[in-house]
Amino acid sequence: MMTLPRQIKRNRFIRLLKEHIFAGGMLAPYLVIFSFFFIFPFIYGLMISFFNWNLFYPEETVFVGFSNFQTILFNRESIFFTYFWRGFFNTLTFVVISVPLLIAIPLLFAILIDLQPKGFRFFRTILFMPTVLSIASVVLVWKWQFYNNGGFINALLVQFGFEEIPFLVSQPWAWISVLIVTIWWTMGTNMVILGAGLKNIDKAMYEAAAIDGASYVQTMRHITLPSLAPQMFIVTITTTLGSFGIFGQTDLLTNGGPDFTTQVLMMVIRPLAFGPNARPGIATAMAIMMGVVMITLSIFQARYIRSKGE
Amino acid sequence: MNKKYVTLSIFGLFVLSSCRLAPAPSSSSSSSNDTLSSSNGDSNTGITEKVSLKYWNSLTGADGGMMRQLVSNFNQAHPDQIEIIETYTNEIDYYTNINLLVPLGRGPDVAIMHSYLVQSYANSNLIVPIDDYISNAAVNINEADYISDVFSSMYFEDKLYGIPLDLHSVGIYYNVDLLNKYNLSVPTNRAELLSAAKVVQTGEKATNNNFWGLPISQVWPSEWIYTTALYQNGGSEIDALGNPAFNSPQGIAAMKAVADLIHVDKVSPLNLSVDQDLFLFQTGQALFHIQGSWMLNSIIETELNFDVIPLSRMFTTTQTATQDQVAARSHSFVVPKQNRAVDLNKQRAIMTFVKYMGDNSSLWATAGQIPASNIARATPEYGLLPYHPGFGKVDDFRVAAQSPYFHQAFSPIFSRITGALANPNYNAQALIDAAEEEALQLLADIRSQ
Repeated sequence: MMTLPRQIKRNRFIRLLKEHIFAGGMLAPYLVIFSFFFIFPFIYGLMISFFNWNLFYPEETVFVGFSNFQTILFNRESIFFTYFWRGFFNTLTFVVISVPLLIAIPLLFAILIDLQPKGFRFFRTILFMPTVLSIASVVLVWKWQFYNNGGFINALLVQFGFEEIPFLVSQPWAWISVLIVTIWWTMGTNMVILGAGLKNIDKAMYEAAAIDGASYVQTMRHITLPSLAPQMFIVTITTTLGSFGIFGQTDLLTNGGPDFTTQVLMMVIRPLAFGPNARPGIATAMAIMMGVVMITLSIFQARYIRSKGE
Repeated sequence: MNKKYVTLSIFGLFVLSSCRLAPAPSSSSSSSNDTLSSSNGDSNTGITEKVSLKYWNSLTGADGGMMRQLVSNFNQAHPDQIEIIETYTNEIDYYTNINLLVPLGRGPDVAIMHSYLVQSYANSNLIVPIDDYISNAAVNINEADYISDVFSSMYFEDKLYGIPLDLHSVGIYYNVDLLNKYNLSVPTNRAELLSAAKVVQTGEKATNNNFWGLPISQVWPSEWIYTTALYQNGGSEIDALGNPAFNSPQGIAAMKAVADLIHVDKVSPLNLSVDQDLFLFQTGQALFHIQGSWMLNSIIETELNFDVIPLSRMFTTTQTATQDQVAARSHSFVVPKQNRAVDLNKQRAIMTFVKYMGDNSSLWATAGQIPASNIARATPEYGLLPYHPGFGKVDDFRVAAQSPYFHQAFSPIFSRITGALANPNYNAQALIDAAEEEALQLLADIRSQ
């Protein structure tokens, strides 16, 4: 015979199960898809990085431990050391220059739109529209603007007596071009998220600040930005991760040039993973190292933003 | 009840997917064996029952339409014996698919491969020798019927791995009206080429500042131009051991011969991206344009009055034994490795298809390619094509040196050529040193596998 406390426990378990079964049922499809497309590939990728993976003859695949990581991180004699660090440095360059701008510019537009000037809905739509385009279309449009010898911007410059600017083939212009395209293409999402945050700020706080004689900058510094902390948290994390994953802009716009200076890590990883001279073990080791950096950075960012928000 | 519906749904989906995956039944496959054998009576293919072949290629550009037409013609010519099911994808995805699916036994029965990759894929055992296929075939595939240089490049360790379909190369397209306007004759060497380019450029710039004698994109097809210049200056991509051989006086002379067009002779502007040079030519803003034969139709479509001359002698000013040579590549038929033994019928079907495509490649040639088959090049149809002789003599076309690691040994130079074309103050030796170092590192890695 079951003792009373055990029966209570059992009933409680059944009650909890019933309560959660609906939620579990709703979550199940997502969990299945998430596992199939993320957890499984992640574990599989992690496994590949510890092997000298032979794409052609799986039976010749050899376990090499941390050798692939050692090669890309420390073996100066290996071409993959050069590829990894060059790609990583270029990616980091892009992250450092792009993330502040990808937050500041959408924030500026979000604030302007939040003031609800005449036609603000039109501008909000216009500013958001590039986000729905594919990177191939975006690059096609911008390439024609940036080209030398007939590109729209350079044609204008020449028309007004200026020298042409080698946007796509010389530094720092190549990075500037990539940056312009990225901002134009992606800022809509951040603008909408930050705009939603601005709407939620209690207007009474602004009135109180105005009564206290606070300037616009002070209001911004002490009311707007701290109140936007939750949105900033999301925007900063997603923008940083997005910038780390840069591929289409540099691949299609500059093809990694000039002189490999815009050859980001994803451009190195992709041909190594699938190309004619594939080295999946090396490619996944690079991808995992990039993932480690991204996760670490995100954790630090999250802690910092939370501490500022509190 | 629900269970029943789920079971029925799954069964329905299975049936539907089976219908989708199975090759479409043709009239002949539903017919009896008697019908098949009667159809073989007047056939020289030696096939006893109808065969379906999966044929993959990467021909998605302007030339793709011609390939579709040729395949359709083949299917119509062999209605009761062979059905070709063609799949085509762009070049990058194409080789990725080959790499991933052939080892799983899900590759095609026959495929197109670029000639410079044949040795590499043979070395990886992803394609199989076809000597037995040829000896088992009812059709006669004879080495003497093909351009010997390109056919020889299909051998790896004394076994034949491919049959060439075509040669494609680069040539100099020129604007006939502009040349006539300035009473200039068609150039036959570098000095004449540069002279004509400068005369017309100077004349036309009076009315159009964006006119250029010989605009060169710094990205494409610079690897073709450099390889041609390397040959003409007496150099080679790799040595007998498969190591890079471009770090040589000839390699430097070749880089200079290409980059000088922009930085010294100034017949091309700086910073031209891919196809901007093509655009200038198509819009009448260039006298000369170096472009692949595969782009012929896109230039014909502009209705420009143009012709083509070979690149022979355009990248050397000294007489060399190789001054006329021009880099060429071939689309070749290969047989990917299968998980199961390929029966005699299928072997014969593959060779029948390969033979037909080669012999009838005068149609393929209308897309700008030069048939590798001597039979096809001897046809009146091919003889009527106006621009093909302009790309050069067959004997002057040179295919890449043979090594299973050719790509690793030579491709690092390509980005350095772009670097030289982009920078007026480029250091040729430093760029070539860097390319060689990268090539040696890649070779060391691949050879240690």
